[in-house]
Amino acid sequence: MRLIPGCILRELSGRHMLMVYPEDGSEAYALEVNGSFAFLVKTAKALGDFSAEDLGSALETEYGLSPAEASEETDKALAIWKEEGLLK
Amino acid sequence: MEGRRPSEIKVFLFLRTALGTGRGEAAPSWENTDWQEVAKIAREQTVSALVFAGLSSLPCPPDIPEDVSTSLMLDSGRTEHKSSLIAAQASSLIEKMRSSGLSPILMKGPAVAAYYPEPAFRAGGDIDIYFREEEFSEALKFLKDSGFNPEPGPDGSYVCKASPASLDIHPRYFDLRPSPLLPSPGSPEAEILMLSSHILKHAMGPGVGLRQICDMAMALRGLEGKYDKQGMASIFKAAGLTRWNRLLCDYIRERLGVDAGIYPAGNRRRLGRLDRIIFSGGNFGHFAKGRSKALSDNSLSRKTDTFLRLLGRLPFGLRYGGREYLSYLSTLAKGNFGAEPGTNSLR
Repeated sequence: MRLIPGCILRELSGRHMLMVYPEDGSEAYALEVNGSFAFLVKTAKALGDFSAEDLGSALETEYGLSPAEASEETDKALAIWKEEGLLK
Repeated sequence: MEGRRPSEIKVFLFLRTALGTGRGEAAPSWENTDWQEVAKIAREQTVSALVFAGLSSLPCPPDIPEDVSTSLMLDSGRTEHKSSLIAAQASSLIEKMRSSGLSPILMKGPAVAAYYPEPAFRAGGDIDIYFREEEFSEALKFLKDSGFNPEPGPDGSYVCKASPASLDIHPRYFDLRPSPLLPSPGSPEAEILMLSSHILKHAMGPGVGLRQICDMAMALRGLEGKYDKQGMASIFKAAGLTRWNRLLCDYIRERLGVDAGIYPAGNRRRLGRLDRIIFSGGNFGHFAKGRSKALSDNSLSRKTDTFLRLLGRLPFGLRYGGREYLSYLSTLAKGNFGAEPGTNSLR
């Protein structure tokens, strides 16, 4: 699932949200990225085949993280998603 | 801004900021702001993306409750995504039509979005395309050959289901009684008159929202210098719509900060008449009491509801629409209850 063309970032009141509109027409996702780059899935529906690698790639392109930063944050995301039972 | 709720006043501030028509006014006090109501108004008026844009552009943005900022960010993201897709869809279709020798004129939606500072923040709906009478049949044939299935509407137009936006194909450019005095479709004067009469048509019926008012404001600003102001006033007069357009121009000047310069400023107290229509029903009156249920009911129920709401606008319609209002009443009754094709309707 390609993410990059359908990514929209928003910032308001110090909060950042990444919205993903997959090109294949599958369900859109929204992820909040807080100031410390720890990802909390606030409004994402079932993750399906949305992967941490996809997220890391989007964060590099849309949020300007370096590959190392993106990789670190996707590891954090994986840990949080496991904890919240969101990984399938 | 007399008589308006604080939330409504703030929505207008955010819209002016987003549209670039702010008056350099001092930031209001954010204390006691009902942010839930601000978000609700933005949603009902289909201007969430613009409100988001205005809020985020403020020099000192206020603290906003998390659920409201989430809602505004999500709404604006959805709007930007969908509007971009619709713009691409419209552009592609128009190009194909022109390559086939047709002369389509894109109306409203994607056409007027081009006047916005950020076109993608203008919420999109359908794609409206006008064709001259002499090539209308050819246009329908093109659509069928292209795989669309044009279905006739009660007002002579045709609707093609498509994605992301449906196509509305129109044989009439103006929501007005035909007249040789109307300007040629495609000219700046015609576009202004078309947008104005579209707003009036809906204001006299189920309702109209801020999105259409913003469209008019942006068109007036975008077409500045491309039309003659006195000539425009004469066109409005020829159409019997001077009083309406004085009200509309005053409203846009006072609420959205765009002075078209067609008329001198009038009595601000009249603006409440349009405020009441806008804020009682939202976008095309969809949020008026009972309207949602009527729209989801059977066809007769929907048409009856529309007709009754039109009757309810009698004072406003007669004052600002005059003969157009009476014409709408008459043709709506004939077209929807008399089952005659090609007559006017308020869907």
